[in-house]
Amino acid sequence: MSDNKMDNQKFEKPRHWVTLDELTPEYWADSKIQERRGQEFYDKPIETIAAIDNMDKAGVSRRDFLTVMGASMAMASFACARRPLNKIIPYVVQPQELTPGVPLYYASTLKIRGHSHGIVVRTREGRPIKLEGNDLHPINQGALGVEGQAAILGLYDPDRLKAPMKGAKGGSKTTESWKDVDSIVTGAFKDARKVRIVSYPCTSDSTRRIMKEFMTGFADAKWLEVDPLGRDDVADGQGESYGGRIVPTYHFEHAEVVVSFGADFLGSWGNEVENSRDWAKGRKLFKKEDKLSKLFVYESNFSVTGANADERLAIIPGNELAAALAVAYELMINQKKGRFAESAEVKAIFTGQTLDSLLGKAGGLDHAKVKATAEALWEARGKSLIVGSGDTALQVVINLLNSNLDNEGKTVDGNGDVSMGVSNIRQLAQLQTELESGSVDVVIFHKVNPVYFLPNGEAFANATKKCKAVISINTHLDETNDMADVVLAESHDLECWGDGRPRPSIYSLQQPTISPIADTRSFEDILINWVRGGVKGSGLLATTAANAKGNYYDYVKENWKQNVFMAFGKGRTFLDFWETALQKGVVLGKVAPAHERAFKMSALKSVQKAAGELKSLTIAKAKKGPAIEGSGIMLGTYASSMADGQGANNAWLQELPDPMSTVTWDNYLNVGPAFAAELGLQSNDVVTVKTEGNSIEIPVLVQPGIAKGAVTVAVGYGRRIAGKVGSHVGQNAFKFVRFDGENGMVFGGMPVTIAKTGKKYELAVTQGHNKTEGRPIINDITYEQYKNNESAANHTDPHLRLKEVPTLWGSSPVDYAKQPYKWIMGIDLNACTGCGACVIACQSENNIPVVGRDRVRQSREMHWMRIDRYYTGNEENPNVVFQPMLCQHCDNAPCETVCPVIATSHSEDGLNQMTYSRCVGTRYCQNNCPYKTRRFNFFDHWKDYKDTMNLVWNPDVTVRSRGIMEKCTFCVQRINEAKGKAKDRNVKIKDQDLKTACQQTCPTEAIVFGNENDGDAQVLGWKNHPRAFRALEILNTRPAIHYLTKVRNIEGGGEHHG
Amino acid sequence: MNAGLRKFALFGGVVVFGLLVATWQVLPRTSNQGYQPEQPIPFSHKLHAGTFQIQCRYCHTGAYKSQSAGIPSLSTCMNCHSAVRTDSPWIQKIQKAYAEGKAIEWVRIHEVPDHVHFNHKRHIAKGVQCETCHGPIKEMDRVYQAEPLTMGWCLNCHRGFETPKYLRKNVYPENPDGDEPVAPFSCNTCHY
Repeated sequence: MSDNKMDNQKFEKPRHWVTLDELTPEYWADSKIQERRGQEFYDKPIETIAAIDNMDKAGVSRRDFLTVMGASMAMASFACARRPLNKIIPYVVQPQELTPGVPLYYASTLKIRGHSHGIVVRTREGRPIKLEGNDLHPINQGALGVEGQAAILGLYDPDRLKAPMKGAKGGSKTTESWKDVDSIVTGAFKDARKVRIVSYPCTSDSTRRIMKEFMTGFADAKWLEVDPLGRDDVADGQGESYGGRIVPTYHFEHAEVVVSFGADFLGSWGNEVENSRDWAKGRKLFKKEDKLSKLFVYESNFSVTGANADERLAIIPGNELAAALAVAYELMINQKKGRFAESAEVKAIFTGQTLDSLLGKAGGLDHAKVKATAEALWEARGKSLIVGSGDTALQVVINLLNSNLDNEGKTVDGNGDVSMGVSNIRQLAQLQTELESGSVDVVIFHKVNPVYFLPNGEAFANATKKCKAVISINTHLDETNDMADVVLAESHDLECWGDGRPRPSIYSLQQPTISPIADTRSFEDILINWVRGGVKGSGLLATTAANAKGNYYDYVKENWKQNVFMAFGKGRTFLDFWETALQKGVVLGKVAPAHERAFKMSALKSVQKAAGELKSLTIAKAKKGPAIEGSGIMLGTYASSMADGQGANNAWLQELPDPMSTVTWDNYLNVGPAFAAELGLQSNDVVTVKTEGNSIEIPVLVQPGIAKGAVTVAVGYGRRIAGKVGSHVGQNAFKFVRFDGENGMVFGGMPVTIAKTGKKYELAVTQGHNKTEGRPIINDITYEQYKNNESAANHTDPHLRLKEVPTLWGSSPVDYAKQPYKWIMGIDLNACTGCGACVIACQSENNIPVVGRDRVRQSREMHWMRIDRYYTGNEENPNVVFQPMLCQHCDNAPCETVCPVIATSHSEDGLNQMTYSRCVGTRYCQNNCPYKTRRFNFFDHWKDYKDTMNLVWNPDVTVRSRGIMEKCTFCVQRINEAKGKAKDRNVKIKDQDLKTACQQTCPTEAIVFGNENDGDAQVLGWKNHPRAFRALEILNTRPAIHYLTKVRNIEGGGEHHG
Repeated sequence: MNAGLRKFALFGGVVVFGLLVATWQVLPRTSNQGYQPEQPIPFSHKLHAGTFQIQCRYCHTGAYKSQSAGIPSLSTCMNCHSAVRTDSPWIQKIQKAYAEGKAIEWVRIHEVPDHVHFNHKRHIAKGVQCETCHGPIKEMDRVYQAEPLTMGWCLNCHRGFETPKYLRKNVYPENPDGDEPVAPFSCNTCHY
């Protein structure tokens, strides 16, 4: 066995590791660790519960305790031998299209902040239970990201506003009827001159039109479209460089070389679903002619994009510009490449700058890597792409580089409606001034939460007090509508009509899939009702309101009739056109070909100024008592799955482990290992992070890949008013984001002082709950190795693959080859970005409960699928391999042989089946599973799903109760459904007709599921690919999951040739 | 807690467990066989399905296309009873409920536990007669559970031990007297 690595006298660092301590010989020599290796859990979970602790002290061991409990439960079960009375309540009039037990699917649109996603909603008996991407929608292409998958839980959130409310600004609010609040609102609008409406960027034509018509009723009305995570800097930079404040369309699928300066485009930058799918198209290595694209990432925080980079360079937050300039300097000054290389304006940027100073300011970058970036870019000119996130100057440099490399008009497509859905957050500063002057009559906040996300949120909250009427339209109570006079309860996207137009050529429709659960209205219906109540409005809005029964459905339909139908409905009746559009969810227009825009050299003037202002890092350290304090440390802020705080009350998002740190339910301060040692910090140390005006106390996480002198923290946490789940989780890092009326919101680059408090806080980290102890479970090779020998992956580790072994059982009881089906799965580690969409999709499909922070600390998270993150290489800035880990459905399953009651067994189609009703909860199977993919229900977690939350359960999957084991079933309910459909037609299930939930939602198509006995199955090609390996194959478990080795587009790596 | 008490608890646990197992053997399994509750309206299957020969699927429309057979909506009753036997107080109750849009709450008789997924459609598609599981429904004035609906009972048919002849003929037309399994019996055929 290979785990004798640790037992050897000579310590050898494991090639892949999970936590940093595994790299030290002391860790493996530690007697406690040695002792723990024989145990079920690394950290004994039960002992952290105080109550059990006390019992232990009283002399009852856990085993005795369980025995007694078992006896009492047995006695209790006597009392309920008879079944309770159950009722069947049929429909009074059954809807014609509905048969109880048969799901219905609706195509619709889901709006997540500024982005509109094409979705397909699976409903049962009129209740949405699962969201999936719409295959016909060009942006989603069938996939959906983390936020999209979790949106269904938001629909059933019991904390949602159930009726409109009124109250004092900042005071308590009481529930009112719509009639009452409408009369308050219409009163406020009477004689109102100055009206301000704040919302997320709008991608809907109908909403845009209704807003226009609503605003004509006021002398001075203005609509502010803001998104704190919006790409203001991109739009500003585009405006300066090319004219026209737009966010262009990026064609990652055409890019052979991608360079990102701080843009987490696979995570939080732009539409990550579209970006991921397009980028992954260049990462598929199946045929000989397939080429691997190359990704360079210069970033301060270790993001998923950085984790997927072939070359990742850690930089100082806020100094992305220095890194971009260094690459520009290398390309245009040193190598004199490109059409602008000799221009005086370009040379002028670098006045007083040397390459060395730029490298230094960016965080001590390696010149060789910068040179390699420039060379790769030049070689792939016209087929490369540079993106970034920072400030306007950075974007201008990026535009200069893209234009210089002829990418403009090729991978960067400037086609886009100038007015469509572009955030301009600096307007909030102006609004604050206006509010403070007391000149605003009415301000309406729709969903956005500036009191929370503005660094000076309190000042903004105070400013709203001077406004005559503050109206908030939202699904939840939050910090901003706490300051409102009336809060209007808004419906969820799945409850209302609407449309979306994310691109000029894409028109998507949104239809309700459930009638509003509570007394709520859609945003637009609220406006229509106001106009009906006497507020002025014009055009179609006025006509709709004049009709006593007119609502937003009529409005959208009429707007489509006048616009979309006129453009695309030639030769068809409107009814036919409308119904087809509803069925498909989208109407697609012609995509205008990309055209090259001319770069305005005048834009470079601002860059020269910004370049001159770049500062290098000066860290002062002072010893104060036992604690070290460092000042001048650069703090970078980044977005996590909480986004701008909107995800806070979604328990699925809270419990989704962060892809890099695998921390749940908290944010934390990322500090690099060397820098942490210098500051005397360890993980879970609580530190104070201070600037002049603000300070927070936050736990530290030692995280490789953060530049020395820099620390990073996620925004979106620390919501004060979010709901039962989201309030007071983590700390609000928006306090450290720069915001002003000139530059808007700039993340990163805030000099802070960090001081140790001496307190400890245990972060709920999932990875490290189970360790591989150096066993080869994962594999990666370099592109060079792969090009030289396609099956190089087989030779990286002698223990990785098992060829021939004797078997104890003679022959398998079932000959799988003779069965109609044998289910297997392929997972391409090269395409997997680690985003976690599959984890949430699985949670939604399979009724997986949320357990909460404390239980995660005890390693009792329930996710059937997890994404293991492995580091390899340099421990300060390692490479990363993500491995989606789920039940491997082993043909020789170790779990099956130890179950005393045969609750887990093998089906003839190769599934490792878990029979809940048989399980008595010995947990032997969990102990014997080498992949640690089995989850035990220590509690009746379903009892936490109260009120409307109950409706989220998938009726096709059993809701598990306390005391039983569960794990991935390969979505057996979908298999059975597909089998039924195939039997109806008397055929076998066709490849790709059946998709597991994780496969279906994967934005990069990294998962393929299929029938091994079907010669045409895509999964067979994966299984037989030279890159394929199985996890811990050495154990002869014969898993049904075949992983495809990650190939990194770097040179070298010859040392692993076998 | 002292050691003696601990041992007592341990011993007690074992005894109680034993008692439970013993009782389990005596009780009629988990079955509700024979369960015949009173319904809010004394609907007679004997009259409707027996005397009038109304097809089962006329009311239980889901049986042929869904996992659940479904209880007819009030509108189905009203197809006939807007005109037929309108003088009966029970029919008037139905008419009133229909007019008010209030559903009748029937008492459930046939029920498998939540961790069992039974699919009507698949069984009907294989030619299983309704009466095979639901008993002589055409003779029941008030419906009762005729069969045990336990897992053993299900498996007796699936594995071919006690499969009705007419069903075996559907599966093995050339060998209707054998004892091979007639339906899948992997755990996850029903449990997932």
